[in-house]
Amino acid sequence: MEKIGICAFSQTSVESDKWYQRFQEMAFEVVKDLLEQTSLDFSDSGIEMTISVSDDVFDARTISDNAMTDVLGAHYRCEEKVAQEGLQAIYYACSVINSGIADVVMVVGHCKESQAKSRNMVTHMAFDPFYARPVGLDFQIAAALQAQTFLDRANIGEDELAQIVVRARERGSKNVLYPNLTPVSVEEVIASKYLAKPIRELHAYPVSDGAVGFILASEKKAKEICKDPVWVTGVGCSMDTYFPGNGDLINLGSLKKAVSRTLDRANTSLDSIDIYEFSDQYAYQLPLYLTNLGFCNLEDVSSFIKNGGLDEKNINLSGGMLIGAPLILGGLFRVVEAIKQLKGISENQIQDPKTAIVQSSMGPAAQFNSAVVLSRDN
Amino acid sequence: MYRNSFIVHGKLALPYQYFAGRLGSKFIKTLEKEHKIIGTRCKKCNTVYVPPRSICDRCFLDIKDNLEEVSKEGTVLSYTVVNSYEDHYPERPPFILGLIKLDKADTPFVHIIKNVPINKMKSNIRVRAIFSNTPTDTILNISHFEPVDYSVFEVGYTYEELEIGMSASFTKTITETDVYLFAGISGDFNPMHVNEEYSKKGIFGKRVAHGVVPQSLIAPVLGTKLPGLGTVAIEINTRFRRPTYFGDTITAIATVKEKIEEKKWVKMALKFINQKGEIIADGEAIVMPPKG
Amino acid sequence: MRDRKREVAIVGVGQTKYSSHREDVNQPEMISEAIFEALEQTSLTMDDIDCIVHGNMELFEMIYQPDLWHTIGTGASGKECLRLTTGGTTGATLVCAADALVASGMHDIVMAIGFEKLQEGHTTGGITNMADPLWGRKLQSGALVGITATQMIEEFGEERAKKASIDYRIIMDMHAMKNPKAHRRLGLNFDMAEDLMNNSPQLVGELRMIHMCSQSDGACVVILASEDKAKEICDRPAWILDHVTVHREEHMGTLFGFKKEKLTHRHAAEVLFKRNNINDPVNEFDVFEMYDPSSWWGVDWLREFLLFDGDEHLKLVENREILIDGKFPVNPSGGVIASNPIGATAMVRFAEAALQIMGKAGEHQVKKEVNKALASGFGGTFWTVLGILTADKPER
Repeated sequence: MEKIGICAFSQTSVESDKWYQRFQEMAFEVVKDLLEQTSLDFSDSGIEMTISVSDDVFDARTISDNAMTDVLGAHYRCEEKVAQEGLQAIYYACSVINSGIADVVMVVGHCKESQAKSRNMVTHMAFDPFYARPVGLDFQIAAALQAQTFLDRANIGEDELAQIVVRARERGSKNVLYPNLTPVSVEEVIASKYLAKPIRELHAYPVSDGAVGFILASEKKAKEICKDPVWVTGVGCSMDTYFPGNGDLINLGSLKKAVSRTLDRANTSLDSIDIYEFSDQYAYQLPLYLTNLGFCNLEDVSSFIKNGGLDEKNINLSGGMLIGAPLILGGLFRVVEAIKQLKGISENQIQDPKTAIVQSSMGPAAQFNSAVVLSRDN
Repeated sequence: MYRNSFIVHGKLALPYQYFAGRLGSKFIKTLEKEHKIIGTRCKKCNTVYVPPRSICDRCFLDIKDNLEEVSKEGTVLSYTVVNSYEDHYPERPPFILGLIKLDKADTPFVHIIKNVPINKMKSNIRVRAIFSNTPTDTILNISHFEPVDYSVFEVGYTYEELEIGMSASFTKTITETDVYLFAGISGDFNPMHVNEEYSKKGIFGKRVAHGVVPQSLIAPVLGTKLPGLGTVAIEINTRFRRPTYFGDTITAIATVKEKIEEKKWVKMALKFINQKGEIIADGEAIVMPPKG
Repeated sequence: MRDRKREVAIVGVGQTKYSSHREDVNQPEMISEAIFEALEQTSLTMDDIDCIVHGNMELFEMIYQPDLWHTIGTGASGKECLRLTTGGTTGATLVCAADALVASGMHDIVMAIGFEKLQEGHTTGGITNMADPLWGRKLQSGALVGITATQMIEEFGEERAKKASIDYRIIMDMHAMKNPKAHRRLGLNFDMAEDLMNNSPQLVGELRMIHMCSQSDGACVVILASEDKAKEICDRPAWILDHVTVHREEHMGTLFGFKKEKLTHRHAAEVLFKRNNINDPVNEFDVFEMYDPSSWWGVDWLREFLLFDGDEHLKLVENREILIDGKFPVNPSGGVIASNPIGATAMVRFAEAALQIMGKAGEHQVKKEVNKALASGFGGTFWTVLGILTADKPER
C-alpha cells in the first residue's frame, strides 16, 4: 500500500475514573489539540472526514457517535464510527486515503470504562445467549482459560508474569499522562488476589478512561501539513473463529495472520522492525504473543523474560497496555507510544528507532487481531 | 472525591428475547428430554461442532442436518477458578469453569465443574455431564460437569510446590506384635528380637525391635504426606543411634533439605525420635515427587 | 469529480426475506441466508472474499461487538474484518467503507453485511437511549416524529398534504407487493386512501400507524469488486460513481421542531450533484431508492433530495410519477416503510439500486433501462449518506 502520514497525535491522561469530564469533553481536549498542532479546520481544504472510535455499550448510548457530531467537527460533514478495536480506524483511514476518497482524515477514540458498573459485564454481552452467557463467560474468563493453557504448556510461571507487570509499571510510571500508576514489586504482584485463576488483580490492565486522536493524510498532503510526519506503511487484521471453536487456545492464528499481512503491506519483516508495542491486557498475553510470533518458544519463554529479552528486543518500551488504556483503544494508545519513540520524545527513549509495529486484540482470547507498521524518514 | 460534579445513575434495562433457532432449540430440548448431547458434522472437513452449528464456518457449508450424538464424557482442556464476583456469574465465587471437549466432538465449550476441591483443580482431567432436573432453555440443561475419577486429585506435592524446610511426620507405638510380624516377614528370628531371656544377657538388657521397623515409619511420611501420593523413593539411608524397645512410641520426620533441579528430585532429611525425645536414628532420602 | 485509485462496482446482492418473525434462526444463521444468496448470484465462494465489513446497532439486540459471535455465520474466520456503525445510515456506511477498501487496492473483493434482528430487542427503547441521559432522554419518543406532518399541512393545506402522504404510502405498498423479500405487503390500492388517512390509528398528530415504517428482522449482503474483477463476476455490474456523508447534530429539543434548518439531505444532494454535474436529477436518474422511515418524510424528503423549492415533489406523487413504471420511480422495492431491518436498511437501498442496474430485481424491475441510480441512507440525529450508481464504468 502507499504510505500515509500521521501529522499529529494527541491523548488525554489515562485515569481510572475521569469523573470531572464527560466523554465529549475528553474527546474535545484531543480534537482541540490536533487542530492547534496542524492549523487545520473542517473546510474542504481541511479535515474531510472524521473516523471516531467508541462503543454503544460502554457509552450506554445507542449510536454512541451521535453524541459526538459537534465535538468531532462533523456538522454538515462526514463522520463514521469504527465499532471495533480502535486500530481499525487507522486501517479504515488508510483505505479512504489510498482510494482517493479523502486526503485528510481525523481519527478520534474515546471510552470511559469507569461509566460501567463492570467492564466484564460489558464483554459478557459479546457472547451468544444460549451456550456461553448462561455459564457467565466474559473476556476476563476467556483470558483466564487461555492463560491456564499457556501456563500448562509453556515453561513460564508466577515469577515471570510478575516480572512483566513490574517492568510495565516501572516504565509507565515515568509517563505523567498515567497519574494513577504506581510501581509494584514482584512480591506484591504474586500476593495480589486472583480475579480468575491464574489471572491476578495486578496481572490485569487497570480500569481506564481516556481519549486519543490523530490526523492522517496522504503522503503529499502530510508533507504540507507538518514537516516530520510518521508514516503508516502497513495495516492488517484477522478474525479467528468464535470462542472457543478453535480448541487450541494458545495457537493464535489471527495474530499471526494480522501481523504477517501488515508486514507484507509494509514490505518488511518482523525482525527488521526496531520497536514493538503489543496490547497486553493481561500479563500472560505478552509472552503468549511472543511465542506465537517466534521471538521465543514455549520452552525458552521463561529465560527470554528473565534474561531481559523484552528490553533487548525493544518490546513494550512504554510498558504496554498493562499501564492502562480503555479496552477498545488499546492499539491507538500504543500507536501514540510508538510515535513518541520514532520522534525521540518518549519517557523511555531508546536510541534512534526508525520502524515500529503496533498490535492490538479484541474479543475473547484474542479472537480478532490487528496491527500497523510505522516508520519515519531518516 | 466528586467535587462540584454530579452523577446521573442509569441502567440499560431493555427487554431482549433471543432465538436459538431450530437447530439450537433441538440441541437444548434433547439435553432436557433425552439427556443426550448432539452436535453437527461438516462432511467436508469432518469437524463435529458441539454445541451444534448450522454452518461450518471453515468450509462455509450448511451442515444443520448432519446431527450426531457425542459422548457425555470429555476432557478438560483448560480451567479457571473464578474468584471475583460479577452479577452475570452463574455461581457465587469461588467456582470452576472448564473448557471441555467431549469425546467424539471436535470443538470444546465452557461449562461449570463441580465436586472438585478448588485447590486441586487441574487441566486434562476427565469429566461427565450431569443433567439438570429443571428445564432452563439454555445449555444449563446440563447442570454442570463432575469428575469421572476422583483419585486424580489425591496427589502429593509436585517438585515446583515443594519448598525447602517443609516437613511432615508419622507416629506409631511399636508393639511386640509388630516385631513378631516383621520377624515372620523377613525370617529374621534373631533371639535379640524374639527371646527375652537371651536378651537379658545382651547389651540392651531386653528384647529390641529390628532397626528397620522404626525406619519403615518414614514410608507413610514420604509416600502419603510429603511429598505424598505419587512419590517414588530413589534412595533411603539411615544411621541407627539408639534401640527401640517394645512399647516405645516412635515419630518419623521428613524435611525437605535440597531440590535437585536437573533431575527434579528432592533430598529429604530424616529423623526418628522416641517418646523421650531421644533421636533413635537419622539419615537422608532422595525421592521423585509426583508430576501433578 | 475526485480521482480514484481504481473503480469499484457492486457485483452481487443477497437478502433474507424481511419479516417480524424469525424465531426459526439465530442471528448468525439469519445472516448466512443472505450470504449464501449473494454467493450463489455471483458464483463466488467464501474463499474469494478478502474482507468482511459488518454493522448493526448493538443496543437493539444487546450483543457487544457482534461480529465476534457472528463469525460462525459470516465466514469471517481468517479474513480481514472491519466493523462500522453509524445509526440508521450504517448499511450505507458499510457500502462506502467496502468501496474504499476495494478502491484503495487493499482488497479485490469485499463483502458488506448489514443486519438487524429487531424482534429480539426493543427498538423504540433502544433509540430512546440515543438521547443524552442528562438533557434529553426523558423527552424523546424514539423515531416517531410527527412534526413533518404538521409542517406540510401548514404549507400545503390539510387535504393536499394528507392525500400526498397516503398516496405515497399506497404506492410503496404496490411496489412491495411486487417484491417477495418485502416485510409488509398489505395489498393497498388508491381507493383506500380516504379511509386510511382518516382512520388509521394516530401515533403523533397526523403521523398515523399506516404512515410509519416497520420493525423487521433481516440481513442484506453486498459484494463489491475491483474494476478488473467486476466484469468477470457480473455482466452488468453497478459501478459506484460517488457518495457523500453529511451529519448534523442538534439539541434534541430543536431537532424535530421549532426552526427548520437546512436538511442534511439537501446539503448532501447539493454537494454530490455539483461534484458529478447532475443538473436535472429527475431526468438524469432512472430510479431512486430512498430511506423513507414514514410516508410523510418520504414525500417531504423528495423535495430535499431533488432540490425542489415549491411543490414539485407533491406533483411527482400526485401524478403517480414515482410509480415503478412512472417517469421517476421511487423505491420499487417498497422502501423502508415496507421493510426496515435497521442495520441493513440503508444497505438495502444501495443493494436494490444495484439490482435495478444489473437488471436482477425480478418482478419489481423498473421497465426502462436503468443506467443511473440514486440511493440514500438516513440515521442519527439527522445524518445522510447519498450515493450514485451507474451502469457505465465511471470516467473521471
